[in-house]
Amino acid sequence: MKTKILLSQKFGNNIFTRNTISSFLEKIKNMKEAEIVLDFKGVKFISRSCADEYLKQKENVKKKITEVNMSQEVCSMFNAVKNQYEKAGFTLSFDVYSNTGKLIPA
Amino acid sequence: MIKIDLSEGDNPVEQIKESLKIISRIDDAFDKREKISLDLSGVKWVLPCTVILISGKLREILCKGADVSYIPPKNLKVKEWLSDIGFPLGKTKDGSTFISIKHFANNLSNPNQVNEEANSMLKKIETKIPNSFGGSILYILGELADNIDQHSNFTHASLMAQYFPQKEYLDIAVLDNGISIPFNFEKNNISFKKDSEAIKKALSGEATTKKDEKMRAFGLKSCKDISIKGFLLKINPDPRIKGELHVVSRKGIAILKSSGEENFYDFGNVSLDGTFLYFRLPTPKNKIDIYSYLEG
Repeated sequence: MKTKILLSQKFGNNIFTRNTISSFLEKIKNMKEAEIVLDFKGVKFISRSCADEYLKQKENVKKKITEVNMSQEVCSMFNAVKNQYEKAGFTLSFDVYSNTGKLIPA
Repeated sequence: MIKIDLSEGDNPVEQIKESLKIISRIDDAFDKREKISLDLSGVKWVLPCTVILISGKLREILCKGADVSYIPPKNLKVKEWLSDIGFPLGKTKDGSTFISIKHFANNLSNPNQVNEEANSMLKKIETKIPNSFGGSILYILGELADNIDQHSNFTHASLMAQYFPQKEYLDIAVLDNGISIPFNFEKNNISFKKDSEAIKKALSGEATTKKDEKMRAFGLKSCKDISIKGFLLKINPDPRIKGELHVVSRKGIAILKSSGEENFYDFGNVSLDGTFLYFRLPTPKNKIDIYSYLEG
């Protein structure tokens, strides 16, 4: 089963805090659906901390999570975090982003 | 009666020191269960740093049952401005150039609370400032909100922002009454000699209280990098426009200036229960790209 969640409805236009993301992904872990689509429509900004937390926690959620409708601003933040990790010699599976920094359409 | 005397002029450091002394007197009066009366009648000039420090303290002790009153300034402009920004208890309505004082108490049962409060406070900030600030203000305030949420164990937090169109800069003040940076470091066995050294370590990103997690301690460092490198040196080489970042936590203060000058020292006889950040950001001439400051 697949479900779609509109993030702006849950969090507002800006996502600022790690606690918001970690408690949200904890809830996703416990959902019965195996496939989750996160709709970023209406999310104007995500903080670096949140993007970082999202990418770390997403690895621990054993479900297929797909992101759609990410704005360029939000996409840039995820890619900035990704680049920070790469510079520090770490690897994370950022499977939704292309090497050019563009989001691969879901 | 606590008489409020404040320095005139735009230098925040003097007013921060004066505010900490006033807070100390408020705390003393509260500890003695005295009625707290503030006399602002002689105040001719007040900066957002003072407004947030004093109103944050008043809000905190009011929630603990204090009896507070104050005599407003005789100076009509100051009196009107304080009323406009909602001194001391805060205000929902914002002005065309300011986000009025916002206070909130910690609700431990809601993990989204700080995010919700920050969204509600900041949803209109982009309409108060020139476009050239880009996403920098949301970035800075977002990271500070997360720091408060993650590290401070606060019971009360406060924020305000004022854009000065004539002077072309934005002042942002963020306060929490949490455990402070030095105490948080002590709790996590991070060594330092003075409280100001703990602040310096936090700003440099070289110390993290989340040692088991990769890539932490970026929050304050990146706020510093964006506010100092982003606004002050590259975008605004004009020496007439001076930007500053002040961080006060317990007895320590850090003052970082546009010239590259950095001062870290401890106060002798005053301290703050919590952490206070005060940014003065000159209007960028070109739109700031925050992402170039996040990767190095």
